[in-house]
Amino acid sequence: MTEAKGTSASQVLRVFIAGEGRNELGRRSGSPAYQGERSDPGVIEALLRKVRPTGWEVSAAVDWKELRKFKARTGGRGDGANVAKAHLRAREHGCDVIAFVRDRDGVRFEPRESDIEAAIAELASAGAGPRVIGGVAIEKLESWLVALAGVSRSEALRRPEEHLAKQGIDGKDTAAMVAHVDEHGIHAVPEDAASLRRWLDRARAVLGADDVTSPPAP
Amino acid sequence: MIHSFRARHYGCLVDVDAALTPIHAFVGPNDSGKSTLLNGLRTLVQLAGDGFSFDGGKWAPFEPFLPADHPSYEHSGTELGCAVDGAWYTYVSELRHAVEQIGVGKLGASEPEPRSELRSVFEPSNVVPRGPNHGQWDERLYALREHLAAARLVRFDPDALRKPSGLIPETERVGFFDDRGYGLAGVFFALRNRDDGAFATVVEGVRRHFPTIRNLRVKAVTSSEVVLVAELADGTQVEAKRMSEGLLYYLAFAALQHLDPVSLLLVEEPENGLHPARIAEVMAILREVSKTTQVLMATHSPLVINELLPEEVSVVTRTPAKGTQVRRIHETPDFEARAKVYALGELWLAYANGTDEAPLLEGGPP
Repeated sequence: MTEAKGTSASQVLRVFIAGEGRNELGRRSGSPAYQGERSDPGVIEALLRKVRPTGWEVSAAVDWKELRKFKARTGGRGDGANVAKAHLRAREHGCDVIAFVRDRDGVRFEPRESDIEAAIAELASAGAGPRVIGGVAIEKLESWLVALAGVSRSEALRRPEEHLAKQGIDGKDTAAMVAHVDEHGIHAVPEDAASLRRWLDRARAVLGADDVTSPPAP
Repeated sequence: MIHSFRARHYGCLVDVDAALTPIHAFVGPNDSGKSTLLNGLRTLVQLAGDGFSFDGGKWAPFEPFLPADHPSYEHSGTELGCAVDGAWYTYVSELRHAVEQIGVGKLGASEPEPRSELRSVFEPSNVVPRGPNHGQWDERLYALREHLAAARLVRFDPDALRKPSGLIPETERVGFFDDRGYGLAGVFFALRNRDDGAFATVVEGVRRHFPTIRNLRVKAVTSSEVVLVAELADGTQVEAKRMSEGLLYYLAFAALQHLDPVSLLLVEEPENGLHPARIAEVMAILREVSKTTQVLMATHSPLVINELLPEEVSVVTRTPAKGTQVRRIHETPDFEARAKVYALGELWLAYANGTDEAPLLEGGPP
């Protein structure tokens, strides 16, 4: 396995994670006072472990909703600003990497993807602070879990939760979701799961994984 | 405009310096000293407007030439700095108490109230001594004293805003009768009678923001008292005692910009009772007022702060060791990077939780 980019063999990358709740963040979701003692990971951490099992650790996290927004009439907008806020939070925690995912939640919130991509591009061009693994999940995290099992057209599914339910994965069962990631890995992701593939490509680029088991282009 | 303010031994203010702007907000935890700062400023201008010194057996008006360690203000070129000190406050508070006692119903009188009955509360030993430049008043100093001559502090209370009130004679200044906004109906009566468009402007704003309301009226309930009445689109008339608090607050702030001007407007928590989206409109009113009157406020609302510039916001904190301290928010660590991603109110609340302000004032993650 190669070293994570920009690190030495002895250096452990500090990763800051941001997501919508417990499914993405695991026990790190919520205010520190309410976080569990156990080290239950969420889906973001599980995905990163599949890209690169070692050489990094999750140092801190923030729920998307905890990023302060106090402007009237901004519903459904401002996700680009939230990326910048999360990135600043990661820098203030002394992290090397920020990994986040945000549900797109349907065509109604289509600008969310372009807002977030623009924010990622801006951070990349600035070249300062933590490196970014992030993007929108189209349409939601559950779509990604469906795609991990090799199901095509996952991004077009209206209710991916129903697919997961058939496999015994409840929408609030973070541990089952993480087990699903562990079981399927990232080898079978179909090409049409574009948002997940883009996210994994960024993870590989940042963490420096050699990922010999990447799915071949069809 | 007052550019800087210093308070020593004034309430919880042990020794505080604050740099000010035409519109300025103090934010910070409860019990940090924000309201005391406003009260200190009011004391200062009351001292300027109503102050006395004792000299040669007679009372003389406010004297700007005071000893260097107790300056009432320092004039350096274009900037005006002011200060209050606990040594003065002892008697100024007596004065204020007395003024408040006689001021109800008479605030804004064109002629000062007779002071003779007040003088007994002062003793020569309480009076601030004159400085070495005694007697050297010039026009500039008279102008400064004139500038400091009045302040209006408002901390609107819906119960006070609802009350029927007396009329304001045309010869008197138009203003509220007390800090809580008592006299709102009388103010609107006066605005309507002035016939300068102010009343119509307020009504237009009310219609825009409260679509169920068609008109405002001022109704006489006795030969000497009036109440505010909102006329709804269906003709129903709603007296002030049944108006929503949000409407009452809006009316009070809308009236502010049409009152007779003062040198300083001090506002306690302008966000009270307002819908979050309406706070921006009230702040627009206060910014308009600030073109002619310096506006200083204490607030707990990030939405109020969002409407201000970085240099217009100071963070107030209080520790047992240092007492109250004031620091401009744009002088806090990493402000430039934080301000790029947060609106100003968001920034404040992202790094300050009302108990631990260290992430804001000393840097580091929240």
